[in-house]
Amino acid sequence: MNAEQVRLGEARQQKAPWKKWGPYLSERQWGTVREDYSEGGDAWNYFTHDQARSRAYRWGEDGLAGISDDKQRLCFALALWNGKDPILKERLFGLTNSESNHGEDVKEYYFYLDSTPTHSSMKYLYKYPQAAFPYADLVETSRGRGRNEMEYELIDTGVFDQDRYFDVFVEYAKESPDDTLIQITVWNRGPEPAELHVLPTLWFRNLWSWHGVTERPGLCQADATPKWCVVKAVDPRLGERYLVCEGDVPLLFTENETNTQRIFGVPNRTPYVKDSINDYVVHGQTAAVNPEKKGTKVAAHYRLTLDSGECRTVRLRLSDVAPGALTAANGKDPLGGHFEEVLDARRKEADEFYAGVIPPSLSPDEATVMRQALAGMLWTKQFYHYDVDKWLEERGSDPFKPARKAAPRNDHWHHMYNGDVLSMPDKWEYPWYAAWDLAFHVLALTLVDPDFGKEQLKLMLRERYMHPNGQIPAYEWNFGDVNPPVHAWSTIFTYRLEKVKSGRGDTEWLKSCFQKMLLNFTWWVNRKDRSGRNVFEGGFLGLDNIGVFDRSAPLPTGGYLEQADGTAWMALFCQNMLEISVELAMTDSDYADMALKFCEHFLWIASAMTHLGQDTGMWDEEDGFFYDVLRLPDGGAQRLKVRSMVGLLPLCAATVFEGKLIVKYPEVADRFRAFLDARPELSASIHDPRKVGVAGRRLASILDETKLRRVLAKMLDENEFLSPYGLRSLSRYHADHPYVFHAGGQEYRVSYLPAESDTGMFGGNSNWRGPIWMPVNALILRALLQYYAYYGNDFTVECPTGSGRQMNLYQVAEEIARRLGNIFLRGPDGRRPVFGGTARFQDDPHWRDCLLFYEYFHGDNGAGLGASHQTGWTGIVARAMHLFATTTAEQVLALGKAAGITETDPKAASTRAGVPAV
Amino acid sequence: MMASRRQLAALFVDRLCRQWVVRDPEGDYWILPSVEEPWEHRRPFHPTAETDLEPVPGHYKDMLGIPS
Repeated sequence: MNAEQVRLGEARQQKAPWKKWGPYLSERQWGTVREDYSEGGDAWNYFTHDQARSRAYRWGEDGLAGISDDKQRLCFALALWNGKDPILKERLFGLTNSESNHGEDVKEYYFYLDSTPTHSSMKYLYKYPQAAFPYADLVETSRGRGRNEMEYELIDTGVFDQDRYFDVFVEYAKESPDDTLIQITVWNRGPEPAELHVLPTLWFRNLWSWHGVTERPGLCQADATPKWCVVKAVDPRLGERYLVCEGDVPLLFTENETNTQRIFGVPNRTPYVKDSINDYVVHGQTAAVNPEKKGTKVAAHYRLTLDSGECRTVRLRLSDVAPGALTAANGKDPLGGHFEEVLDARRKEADEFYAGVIPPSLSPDEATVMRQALAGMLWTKQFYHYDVDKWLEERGSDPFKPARKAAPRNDHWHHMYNGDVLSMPDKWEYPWYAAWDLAFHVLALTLVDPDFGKEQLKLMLRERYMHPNGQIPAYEWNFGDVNPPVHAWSTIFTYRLEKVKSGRGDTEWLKSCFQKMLLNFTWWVNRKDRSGRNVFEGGFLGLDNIGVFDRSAPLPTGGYLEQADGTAWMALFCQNMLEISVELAMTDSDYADMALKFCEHFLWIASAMTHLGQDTGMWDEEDGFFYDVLRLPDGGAQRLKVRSMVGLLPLCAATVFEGKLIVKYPEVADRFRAFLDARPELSASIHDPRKVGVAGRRLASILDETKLRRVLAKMLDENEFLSPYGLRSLSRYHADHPYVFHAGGQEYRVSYLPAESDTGMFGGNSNWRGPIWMPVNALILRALLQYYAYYGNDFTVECPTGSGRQMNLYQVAEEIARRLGNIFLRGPDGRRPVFGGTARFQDDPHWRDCLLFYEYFHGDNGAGLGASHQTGWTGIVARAMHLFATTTAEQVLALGKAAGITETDPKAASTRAGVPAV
Repeated sequence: MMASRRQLAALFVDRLCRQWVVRDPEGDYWILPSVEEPWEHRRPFHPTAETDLEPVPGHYKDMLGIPS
């Protein structure tokens, strides 16, 4: 075991709290639902970026390159000032939903370069312009742009011209779980000398003002020598901590309290408030900071003047041991040579750890992509605090008080108490968890930290999260929204992974998850199957603007939608629950009955999807594709013939079974056979589950072989779904053939839009009408491997359609994964498609290997779109790269589902240089 | 039996007069000065038609020592 694996083991066994400190600080707490106490729920405009420097947060904290403990009592982050900005750069700036032409968007350049899963070694880069940050230009220019125009980015303002910026690297290395070394390295990339104020900042999250806490934490200056200054932090729960700051540096103390004068117009009770350090540094207000050198927020004030191309470092150390004691214990200077040794050692250990994670068959560039994807996943952990009952009470909406105001959202989620470290989609654009995103995050996170993956999945099912009625919370904007049910898939995947790696599956964990997911399954069946015919709705289901009209709103035609995706998701949910039941039935016979229940339920759903409605069912025989069906109030019905991911999702509801249930429980097999014999219509138009495939496997699938071939022909057509960079969310066919629907005197139109959305639907900041989305591509990869494990090498299709190249379905999956990877990899021309036409990112050595894992990608050229740091589910690319570097087609045929989580000899794995034709 | 409706204390800011204003559960209004323990130093207040009170989130009540 390498050193990081030892730390993970110690954390798992609770021998040492290696994960107690981590990058759990958000990058944006302002503009969140939690901080919104407005009457109408206007979160973006209630608590603004402009207020953030002056107003204490209620529920969390934010900062640049920050860390905190896992309860976020004490926070550390970086503040900077270039001498020209009107305010300190304490937090990332971005546009609100209404300010930008495509919804909220961070307007900064920062990169998660590395992290180990225990955060024993982390590296971050922030690029800070030397000229005044163009806050107003970004807002005004963006406001003037239309939905059909590109977004106005920071780089477009010219503020990085002539390389007039600082590269600020922040590195963390843990000597022990409670002793973190911090090194800040600043480079002047500009052509002339420039000064930078560097303000490493330590503060307590404000709990004392709002929680009726009588004991208040405190910071004070403890020591000052020519070599270092020390801040002592005392918290009743956390204990004592010391921040050792290199050199004889001024320490600026204030309180993390709201500047009531600035925010509410009421005089402050104390002159030392949240923005006092800003006022001291930027406005020279020397009385703004506390001369008694105490408070709840402190910054060390370094002023560095750097020549062109010069680099300077600042060292700090946040420890539970006072520097004097550290020196007395081992005679070592807390910031001296030993500091360098530890930093180097942790970097090397990170390399060793990733050498065991990243397959050696990957090229150096592929290894860079995979490592930064995983670094992004790990940096995107955040402490998330939200007590909904308290929040409702504080806004006068206490659910149990008769005289109450209606809350703008989350009224029915008052059972909820969240206060945990969670994997976020993007800590600026989406600094709140999203249930279905999280299930995808776990697929990638388990490459480095299976324990964290398990914790995350379990957390969503706990009574503090899951609604008493069984619904899994969607996200804070509306916990009651409906997201696709992918939790069970991620759960069985994670269970199997551990079982293969350790030789033993955690059946207790699996059982406890299963029980809760059973509640969730029942919620779906009772709430989203209007007619009781196993055909499901669900609204937008995470695919925002994919429909002809907003699928979460009342339809302009009246009536309702029978959703191909909603129904397919439920078919997959059934299959995953069946897989879990089968696994649990191996040691507990009670679950054999559950397995049969889910077998049958799957058949009800699958057959409803393919034969209900006949001429107006979801399957369109003429097109060979699935569509949503509009059921009208007058009894009429109509397919909404948009060729989109909605119609590909039925293909994803495919799972192979090795037959171990029927071996162990022949009576269950008999009952299932009797059920099928009595209901021949159920399996008449879907894949017959009795048919035996390769290695005696059975397949549960909505699509029989004929339908599968027809859907694949469209999916693999480069004029439809298959782009050079993965599968599009909408067929390119609609570029020339928009789908048009008239209702209520209005025209509704769906055209192929490979880049940003041209409507405001769902905030206008995401687009499912063309771009490539990693999570649904991952689902399709999974399905293709299931089909391959069943059909084997004899089942081939033309890929791409019309190319004349025949491939088996393993090769098709590998080809799609290769295209997805190409989004990030340097092509033969040296350019990375993800960076699109941004020359600096393509050519500049200080930029070109700093990767961004966007939310989605241009359907034709692979350029990154949407949230720029949504490593969250886009980080799945790491799992896809790993999968095809460690698995062979032969292995899939031999091992079935276990192949995807069993690493083969890397020499035997395919080189991914190209896919040979069969 | 009729259930009596008891309101929660509510906090406001009067920006014109630069002061916190509290409406207590009985419906009486109070001004809170900017001192330590402001609730202990509250003074009666009588809003007029011109008074413009802006609601302040409930969690600031703790900060000002207003009993819930």
